[in-house]
Amino acid sequence: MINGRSQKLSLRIASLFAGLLAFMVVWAAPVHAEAPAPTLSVSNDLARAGYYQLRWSLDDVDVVHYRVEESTDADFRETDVLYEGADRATVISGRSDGTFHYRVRAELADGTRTDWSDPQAVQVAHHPFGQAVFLFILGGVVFLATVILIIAGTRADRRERQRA
Amino acid sequence: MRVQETAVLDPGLAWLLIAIFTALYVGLGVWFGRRDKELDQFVLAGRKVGLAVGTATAMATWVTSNTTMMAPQLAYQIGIWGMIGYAFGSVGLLLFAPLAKRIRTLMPYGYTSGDFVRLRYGNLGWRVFLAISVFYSFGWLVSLGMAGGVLIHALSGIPYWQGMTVILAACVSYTLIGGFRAVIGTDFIQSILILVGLVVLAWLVIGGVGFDEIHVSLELERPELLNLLMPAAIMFLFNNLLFGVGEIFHSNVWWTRAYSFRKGVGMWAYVLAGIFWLPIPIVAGFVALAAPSLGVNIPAADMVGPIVASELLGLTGAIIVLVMVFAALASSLDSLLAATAMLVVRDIYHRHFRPQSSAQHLRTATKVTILLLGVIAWLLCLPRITTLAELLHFTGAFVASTIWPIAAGLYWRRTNRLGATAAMVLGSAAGITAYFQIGFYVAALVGAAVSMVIVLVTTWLRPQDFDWEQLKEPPPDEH
Repeated sequence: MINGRSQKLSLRIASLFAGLLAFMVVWAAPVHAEAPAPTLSVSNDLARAGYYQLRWSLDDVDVVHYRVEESTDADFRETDVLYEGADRATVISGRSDGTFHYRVRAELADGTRTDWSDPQAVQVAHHPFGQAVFLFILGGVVFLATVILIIAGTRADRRERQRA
Repeated sequence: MRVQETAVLDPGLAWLLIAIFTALYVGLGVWFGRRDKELDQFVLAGRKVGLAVGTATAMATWVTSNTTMMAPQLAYQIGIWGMIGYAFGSVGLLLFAPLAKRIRTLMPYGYTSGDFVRLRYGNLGWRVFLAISVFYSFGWLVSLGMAGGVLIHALSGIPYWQGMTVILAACVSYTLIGGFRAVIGTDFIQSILILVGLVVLAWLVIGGVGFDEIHVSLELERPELLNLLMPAAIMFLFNNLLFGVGEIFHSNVWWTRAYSFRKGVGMWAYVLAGIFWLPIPIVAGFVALAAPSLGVNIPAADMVGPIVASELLGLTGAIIVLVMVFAALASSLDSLLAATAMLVVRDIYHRHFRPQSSAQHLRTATKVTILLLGVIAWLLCLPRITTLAELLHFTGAFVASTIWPIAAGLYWRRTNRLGATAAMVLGSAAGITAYFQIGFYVAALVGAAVSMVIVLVTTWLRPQDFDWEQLKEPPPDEH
């Protein structure tokens, strides 16, 4: 009987310890899980030449790497991994017209992950083609006029010196 | 703010390389400048620079950090035309060749570009020109200092401000010690380092990745970089050409060379420098297009050149890039320091505050100014406010508005002082408006166009009859 009681007591104490340990593990682990999500920013909301920069950061926490995702829909139903690594910025270029959405999360040294950052969106809308062609032609005219000025001036200078 | 966590070069090795080349350039500065005691020798190398050194100094000065770091940046941002458009910068050197000859003939005793504008257009035009020129010089100086910091940070992870400080300090030291002869002497060595480095780099990149792989990657991930009708890229083409022309036509960096070359040398030195310079941005820009196929992350657009080279070529590539870009940086920084100091001393200090100064006093003032310019540039570089391309192209609006006042002023007697001044002011204003309304890739183009129209209209409406003999002003007394 005594043995039986003692066994039950030991079992209770062991259960108490196990419960306490489990509580401590559960209580302690979310310290980093509760770390704030990284902050994400974009260099410009409207990209007129198809390039822009994304920057992200998470201070005061030991980050192993970041994962940056891109999606063409605001709900991130389908995503592409844009970057995974320790850098804190990336430059995107050569994009055609459209709206692109981004989010980032960090993987911490203790193996946990943060939540996703607030999403950011960039609209790529290239300049009107007509405007570009007009400025191209204008540039060509200024260049040709400058060349003509210099060639004509050099010839006139030569003639003048020959006369002198 | 640090954005780059991965670097190829060990910081210790990077410091060692920087120390070796700093010692080399400062040593050469002491050697070249050991006999220059008079003003003409200190600031214009005695006006006896020959063709080989003349070509090398023009080419090396025009191969700046902007060529080796901004050409890749522009290729990465706006594609094929970014790379080719940057190469159009050589047109500035080619067009300046006949101007250099004319400058040498019209102004045998000239010192600065400001001398020409003052004598040709009077005090108001001269002061507007000085404001543009000094502003541009600081923009260029800051972009060079920033490039030094960005380069060293990208390759080795050394904090931006440390790399920037060391490179600025090295260039200020040898320019201060050796004067203009040190500038052009080191340019000769630096041009050889740049050319050899670029040839090796291009050979390794093409061999390492291959055209097909680069093309497929770009087509999949960044299609607009291959689009020859991309609007921003189309606008950028002539914008960059006119920006380069404006930089060279107005800047004292190029005028001092025109004055310092032996008679008959200037024309051919600038033609040869333009031809040698042309392929450099194409090779440098091509390196950037390999980034997507390598899957390498580019945290900031102006870091793409060094990052791709070191990613692809490892330690060897990183060392080549460091040595080459340090040479390119130094060759431009020293020239700019010397030429800007001369402009400030001759046109601002001497003409406005101390007209009775002797040549010996002006020589000392030039040295003090070189040091001050270095300190101010360092302070402006510290915050790293923008990318290299955006910073430099902001100045494009101003310098492009000087193209027509300078060119027409050198060849046409009839161009008048009021028209030239209005062209610089209104051209700059229009260019800056375009910079903010459209983008950095149109500022110079719009500035040059407005300036040209004003010069043409005012020359036609109110022609002046300028006497070229007024440009032959005697030099200051030696004692």
